[in-house]
Amino acid sequence: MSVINIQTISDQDLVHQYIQGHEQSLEELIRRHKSKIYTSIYLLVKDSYLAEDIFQDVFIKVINTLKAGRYNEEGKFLPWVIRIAHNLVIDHFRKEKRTPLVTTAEGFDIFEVLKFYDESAEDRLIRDQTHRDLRELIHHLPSEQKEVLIMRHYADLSFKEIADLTGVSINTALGRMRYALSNLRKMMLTKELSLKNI
Amino acid sequence: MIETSTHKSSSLKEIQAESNLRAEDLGEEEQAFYNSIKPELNSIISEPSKESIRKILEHSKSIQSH
Repeated sequence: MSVINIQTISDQDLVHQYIQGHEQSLEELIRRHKSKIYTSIYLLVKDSYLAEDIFQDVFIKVINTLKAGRYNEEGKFLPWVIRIAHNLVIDHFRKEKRTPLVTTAEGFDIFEVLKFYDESAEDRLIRDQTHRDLRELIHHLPSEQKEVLIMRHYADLSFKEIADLTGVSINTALGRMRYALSNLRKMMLTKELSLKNI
Repeated sequence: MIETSTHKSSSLKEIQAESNLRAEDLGEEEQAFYNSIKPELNSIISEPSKESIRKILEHSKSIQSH
């Protein structure tokens, strides 16, 4: 199968081909969607190593489902995979909450301390000041707003798909997006003003 | 008395399509702000490592289809 041909094949057809045994079709699906899926996970968990683990787990689930013949035409491929990623991220946070509190010598919750410095060495080396600012601002959004922004912008889901995935109405999903943008705007203005006052 | 009328040609499908369109819309100002930060949002798109991709593809090859 030539490279040009495979790139014109729809996601659904690639899924069917993969189920029939064409490993190249999975490679193409990963190539098309890996950035969106990985970025969505990364922005939610804020740790590149964890994001890599979850990313792998997502596709292991995808593969196991497809190869076991359990795929029931779950709508479009990307929203289905994002749903899996979303659930795995939630599972991770649930497990985190169950872990015993670890404190620093001064008595602070180590995870609260780490939250603000939870960047890998890789992030610190490669990030541009502007990129870091916006990424940090996104991290400061309330989780449901951050989730909608990430799914809308990076995973390219419609508000209907986001609403279905998060179990809310379309209007609620849209409202959360509006609040996310409004809060980002306020934070950016506040940051600008504070820099001007230095 | 206020006169009202119903559009004769409105079908349920059209009304639903219109409501979906409205539900997908951000306001003009919101959309403008969103458009202004889109390049920056795009600039923080990350990629998974080649190692992750390799592991995934290896896993796939190790499983037989049913």
